[in-house]
Amino acid sequence: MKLIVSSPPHWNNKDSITKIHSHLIIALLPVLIYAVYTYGLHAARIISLSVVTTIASEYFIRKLFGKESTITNGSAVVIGLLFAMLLPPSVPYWLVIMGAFLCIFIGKEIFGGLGSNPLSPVLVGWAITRISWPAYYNLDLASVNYDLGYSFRYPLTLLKKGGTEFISEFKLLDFLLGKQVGGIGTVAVLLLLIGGIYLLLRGVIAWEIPVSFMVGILVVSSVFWLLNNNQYANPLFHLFTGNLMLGIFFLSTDYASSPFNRWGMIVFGFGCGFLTIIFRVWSVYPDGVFFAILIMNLFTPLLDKLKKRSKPVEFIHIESRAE
Amino acid sequence: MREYIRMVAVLTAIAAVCGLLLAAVKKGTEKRIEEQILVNVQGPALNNVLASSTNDIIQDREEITVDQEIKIVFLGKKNGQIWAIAFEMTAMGYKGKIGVMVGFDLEKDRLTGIGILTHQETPGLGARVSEPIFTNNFKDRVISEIFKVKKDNGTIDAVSGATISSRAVCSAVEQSIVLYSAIKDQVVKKK
Amino acid sequence: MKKTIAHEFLKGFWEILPPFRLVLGLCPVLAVTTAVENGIGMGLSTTFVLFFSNVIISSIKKIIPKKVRIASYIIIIATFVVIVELVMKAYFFSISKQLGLFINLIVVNCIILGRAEAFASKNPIYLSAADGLGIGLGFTLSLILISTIREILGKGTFLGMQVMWNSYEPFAFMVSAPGAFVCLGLILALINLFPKK
Repeated sequence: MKLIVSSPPHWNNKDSITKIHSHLIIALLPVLIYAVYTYGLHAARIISLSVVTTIASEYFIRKLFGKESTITNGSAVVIGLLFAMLLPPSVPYWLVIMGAFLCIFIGKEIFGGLGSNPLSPVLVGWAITRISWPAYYNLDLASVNYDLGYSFRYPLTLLKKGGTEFISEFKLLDFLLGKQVGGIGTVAVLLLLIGGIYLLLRGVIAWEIPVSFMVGILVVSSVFWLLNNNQYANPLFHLFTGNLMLGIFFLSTDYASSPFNRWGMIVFGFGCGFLTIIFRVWSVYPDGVFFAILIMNLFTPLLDKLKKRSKPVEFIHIESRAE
Repeated sequence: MREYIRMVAVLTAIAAVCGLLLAAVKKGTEKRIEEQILVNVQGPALNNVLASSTNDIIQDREEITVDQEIKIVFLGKKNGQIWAIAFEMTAMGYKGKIGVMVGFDLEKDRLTGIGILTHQETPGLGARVSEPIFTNNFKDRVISEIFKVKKDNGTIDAVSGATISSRAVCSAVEQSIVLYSAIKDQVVKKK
Repeated sequence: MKKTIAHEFLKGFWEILPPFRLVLGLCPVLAVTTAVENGIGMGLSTTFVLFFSNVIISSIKKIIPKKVRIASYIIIIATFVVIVELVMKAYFFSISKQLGLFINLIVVNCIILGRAEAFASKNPIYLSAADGLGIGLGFTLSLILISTIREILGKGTFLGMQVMWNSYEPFAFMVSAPGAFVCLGLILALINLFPKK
């Protein structure tokens, strides 16, 4: 049997890549503003440090490898912003620099730069630092020193420890409005949702992955919830907590590491949702969204084989609009 | 046909020479390996369990026959007098046998303490029975107490999330108390 | 090309340096290199086995029938592996406990069988000895290289001694399995930058 890893679709039009990334930045902007509003200079420090590091690493690595600079296409900026959003407000500066550098180096440039990365670059940096320095990712303690006006306990840890009894104090509306602790840019569920819808309308991302991801979450968590609603939380709780909303719209939809045909995308999204709930229910980690996405990234070459059965999704309308 | 005979002959010869060589090496290293295992596996636990002894515990070991089985018993001496003994007892844990070194004070009929020698329990869960926070449960306890986890109406705090492993250690301790009562006189007589 | 002892010995250090040039025997490379001590122990054990199996196989290559040669090689290799295991247990107990099963797994290390088949069964004894020693020591150096990187970054120590500054927070990823792959990959890429000769 011969296995050929097909290369992801590459864009040759530099203009459209820059456009895509500027749309992504616009979509992220409200969330970033909310992060700075909540955590003040701490959030601003993380975001700026992360972005500066990603840009600098990309510049120097490409120079070292003897390749032309790609700074202006905005990909490094987006990776830096997304990585910063995953971090809790209290992380030390060196972890931000290290993680942002790993995103670019191990996540992207080693494989040949934008469009060739088999895994989501942001999540590679996140996973490596998360495994190495788990203490700084302890979301339960990360927000203790901030006067937030709402519980500083991480809802998913509480759920893991004591079932639904422990999470009865939380209200879904608060989650939606971003009144929960977590990574600085993962908590503002409503703003992330708006950003995601903006990207959908602009044609930057296709509807297949986000929708099937959500369906996966809702279906699988409903099964658990119906089995035992004392131990397992209701589906909407799962949908609105942790890193999920950011994962659904911004991380699972990374072009190079997700399939590019309709059925592949649907299976990919559903798999992400399924694995997320499995991680939340059975693993030692409170939240498994990112691990789920990384695992599904590995299935992408296989899912791309489905292309014979279904047409590739054409979700780039930007080129026509750009004239 | 000749080729087959040759194949069989050569393979047999090689295997025989290798077998002999291995037997010789095995013979030569056997004693030292046994000692190394005693020093490195039992040693730390023994030094802990028979802490205030002044003798070389591993050298002062005796084989005692109980019910036609030979049990190695380590003797702790103070000023030449045997004050405590220790021996290994195994019980089935969650994944395999757990070897527990149990020490007894001969004069006071108390446990001096226990140490976990070998186990294959889950890291982070069952494996935590080897940590002092659990083994200290057994320090300086009178042997007539009930050594069972609190879930089984005993007095021992089980390691959270590892009831099976904790139970196994308790059962090893209980077994060794039975054995201790059986062999105590033999040991005292030798003294 | 004329074969000399010096050439056969030295080629194991650069030209076909395992595991970076041969890319064989990756299992121990990935599994035991979390500490330099383990790397040295594993490397020297492998060198011992490689040297003696090469010498023995080369000296009896004429009497081994072609059809059962692999079986014969494996018996000889396995014998030396068991000898290493016993001697280690007797004299280097702590390392043998650290390496555990991986000592036994030297039997299936492709480098050893590979050298037996590709070199020792075709060349005279003195060249096979040089080949075994060179490749073995090259392998040892590679293991030391990888384990040095992994131990210093992953634990902040070298041979158990603290080498990084006090407040250094160990980069635990490096001593985990994925870290081994990343580290090996980066070194492979780096070595491939340089020509073989």
